[in-house]
Amino acid sequence: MISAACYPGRDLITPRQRDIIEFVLTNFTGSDRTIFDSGNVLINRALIDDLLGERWLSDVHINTWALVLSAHRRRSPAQFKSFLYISPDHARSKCSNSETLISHVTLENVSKANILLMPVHTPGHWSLLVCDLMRRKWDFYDSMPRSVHRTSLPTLVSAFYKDAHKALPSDLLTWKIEPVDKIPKQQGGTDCGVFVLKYMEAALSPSEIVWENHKNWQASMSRFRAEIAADFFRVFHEIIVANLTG
Amino acid sequence: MSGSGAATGEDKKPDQGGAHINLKVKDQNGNEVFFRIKRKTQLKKLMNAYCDRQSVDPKSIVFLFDGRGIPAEKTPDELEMEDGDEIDAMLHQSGGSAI
Repeated sequence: MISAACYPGRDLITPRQRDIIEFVLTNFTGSDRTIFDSGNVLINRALIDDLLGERWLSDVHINTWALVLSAHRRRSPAQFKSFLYISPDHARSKCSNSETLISHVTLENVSKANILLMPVHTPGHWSLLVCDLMRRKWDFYDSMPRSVHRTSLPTLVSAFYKDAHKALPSDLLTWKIEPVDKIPKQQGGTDCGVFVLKYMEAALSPSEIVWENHKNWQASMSRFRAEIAADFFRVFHEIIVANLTG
Repeated sequence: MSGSGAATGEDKKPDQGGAHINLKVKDQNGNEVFFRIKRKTQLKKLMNAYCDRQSVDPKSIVFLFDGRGIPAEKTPDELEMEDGDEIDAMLHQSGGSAI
């Protein structure tokens, strides 16, 4: 179990972030201890240890980050493009309930959104597909570009379109999928999930990102992971308080 | 593959007080395993028993009830489960890129 006194990014974050992480790590012990449970987000201690401990990330981390980004956007709408999040749970579910996972993709919600965020899972790897509804194209972010990560994209987009076509532009399947180059890339074999979280954040930036200024994300991974954990906890706290106060 | 067993190891006398519940855990391939546990027992007991029996790492599995993740501390009563209800055992999608 990760200790509050010693995890990789501990000395790279603010005292406030350190405090909130320490609070959670000392109060929620035992790997299956539930820290937060709402909608498609069920975070237990083991998942936090994966995040802080420089291990692989799972679909739950990515779903949670979407929740964090919505909270950020609610607080400062001008700093984030409006978006709809398509959970990787949708691509996984081959069964009849796949529509329910994207029931928020309605005509009304799509008309209000600039961006669709669609994390992509291929065995052992995360990448990100972003639909730019304004420019009518798809951008593909891959921290470790390999053609095998792209082969599933047309199938993924078709499956999504099949379930949500009533809410989507009718020519969506003809929009081009373009890999975004110049983005920071990963080294080593553990951080693609964190890259995807950071790409999601970047895709929501209302101003064009100058990628030259973000060359070396890999060197900042420990800090990113700790910051992300602190962001998770802050948003969990906000949501819990909001639910309590109605 | 399918099996049956009691996660609690309790005796299996006919249930008169309705203190027990039969639950079915189904994996992504449609394989089913049956469990009988007390309604007031935390579901982590069932989850651990399932992972033990299937020889899978509990961290690699997410248990879903009605499409939502099941917190390990919750009991069948708290989740308003009914006899014969089905739990899905899905593999987490995870990635880091060790290719």
